[in-house]
Amino acid sequence: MRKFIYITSAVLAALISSCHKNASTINESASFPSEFKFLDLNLKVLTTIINTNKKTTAVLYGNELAFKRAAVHDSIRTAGEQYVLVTWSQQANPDWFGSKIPYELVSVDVVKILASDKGITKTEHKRYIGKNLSPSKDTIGQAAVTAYILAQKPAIVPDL
Amino acid sequence: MKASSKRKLLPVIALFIIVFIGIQFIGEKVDHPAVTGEIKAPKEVKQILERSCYSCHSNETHLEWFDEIAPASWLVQSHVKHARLGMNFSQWDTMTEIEKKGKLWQLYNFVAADHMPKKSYLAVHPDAKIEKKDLDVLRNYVLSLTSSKINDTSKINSFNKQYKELISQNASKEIPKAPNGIPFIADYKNWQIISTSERFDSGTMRIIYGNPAAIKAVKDKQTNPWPDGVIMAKIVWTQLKDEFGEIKPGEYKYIQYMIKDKRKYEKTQGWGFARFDNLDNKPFGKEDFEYSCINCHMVVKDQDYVFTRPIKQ
Ligand code: HEC
Ligand code: HEC
Repeated sequence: MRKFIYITSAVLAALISSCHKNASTINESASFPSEFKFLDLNLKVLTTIINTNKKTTAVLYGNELAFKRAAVHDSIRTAGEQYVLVTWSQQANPDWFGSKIPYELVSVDVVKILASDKGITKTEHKRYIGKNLSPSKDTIGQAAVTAYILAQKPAIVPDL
Repeated sequence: MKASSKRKLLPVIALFIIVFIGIQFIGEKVDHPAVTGEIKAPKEVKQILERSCYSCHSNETHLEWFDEIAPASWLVQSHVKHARLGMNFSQWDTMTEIEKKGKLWQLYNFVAADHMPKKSYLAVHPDAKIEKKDLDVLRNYVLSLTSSKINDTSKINSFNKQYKELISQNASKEIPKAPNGIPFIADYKNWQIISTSERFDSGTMRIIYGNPAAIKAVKDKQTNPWPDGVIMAKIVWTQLKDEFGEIKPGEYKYIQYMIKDKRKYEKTQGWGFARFDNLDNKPFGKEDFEYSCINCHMVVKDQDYVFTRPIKQ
């Protein structure tokens, strides 16, 4: 009898798992509002930063110019470089204890190099906040955020 | 029942009995190789493993009489063989310290996801069930294995060493290939990310990229299952943690790929796996290494074997 149960339950388990409903796997809470058109910015990844005090995870992106500069380890900036820091709050990974993944958008900081001449760089900073990425009018601390973003080194990544 | 139909049934029953006895001589029996280096763990942890896992994952397999009767014994034999291959508590010391830690976290996650012990086994061995309090014991144990040092000098040194390597390297070489033929794909740099992962189990951090087909699938909400042509790449770094609680990527460790092609990679549930280590992109693993990948990704079989819940951009 017991071996009968053994086999039957194995067959049943296989059957049940094959008729599972396919739930969506998209991380909706961490997703960008579609009006923001993030993909249209045509950015590439430069590095990622976690803040354990604020419990956030961030990705620093750059446009083609910024990415090229990072690739040659050049410290001279050129007008047109654009840096975008996307910050999310974190949540426990429901599928793996030991991992934390993005939960909700906290902010998007966009820094543009407007001009760069003899070591003097003119920049512009725009900030979008909250899940809906509403433009922030608050200008306090902008200079510090710009300096922080421009100070980041690109992560070491593999290439051919 | 009529007497005539009873007479017709008799040979069938007789045949069944003969076949049943016959098959008892077919198939391998579970063997008991020597215990060469058993796992060392606190008593309360080891008790749980002995009670619920040792029957399949050790050389000290204790079988019940009904486990030794064919055809059930075939299933048991195959379970024990594969279970020992993946993880064997009797040969624990064949792994490096990092591998041991990784296995223990994997083990916890397999139990937490109800993936282990096998359901078919629990049906006949109810005493092997992992209760909530056992799960807590296992979780506290794996948590006790993690450490996260601030300004860890040895990690900083390996990072600096690799950074110098990076700057001096430029000659393009031949494209490396994994043992299953999947090449290193340098184009990942031009892809978008679909998520990040902070791993406090292994002290690493990751970015997961998706190729344009993956980004399209996310846009169309076609991620379960993912369509053919999708490729994901995952980059893994050690964590460099500073005194302000900030963690940045340190030494680059490896890149892993998953390529969706239902037909081509049928044997590993429709996904082709590959991994390349360090800046010289050394192909990881020997022949059949991809089974070790899919074995762990089985935990998320309900989401097409993909852990990452992609972010829509
Ligand atoms: C009935 C036999 C059986 C029992 C009991 C069992 N396992 Fe397994 N286990 C297997 C088999 C077979 C595999 C190989 C992969 C598969 O078939 O899922 C496996 C694979 C694994 C793996 C993956 C190893 C790898 O990397 O390939 C882990 C981790 C694991 N089991 C943990 C456990 C833990 C923890 C327990 C006890 C709580 C347990 N198992 C009890 C049969 C068993
Ligand atoms: C011990 C379990 C385990 C093993 C073994 C494993 N993975 Fe994964 N893999 C994970 C987890 C957990 C994630 C989720 C992201 C993260 O935190 O790293 C993941 C994510 C990935 C991803 C990103 C897509 C996804 O599923 O989320 C790729 C690609 C990947 N793994 C490839 C591989 C390859 C190649 C191998 C074998 C060389 C492998 N994995 C072996 C656990 C495992």
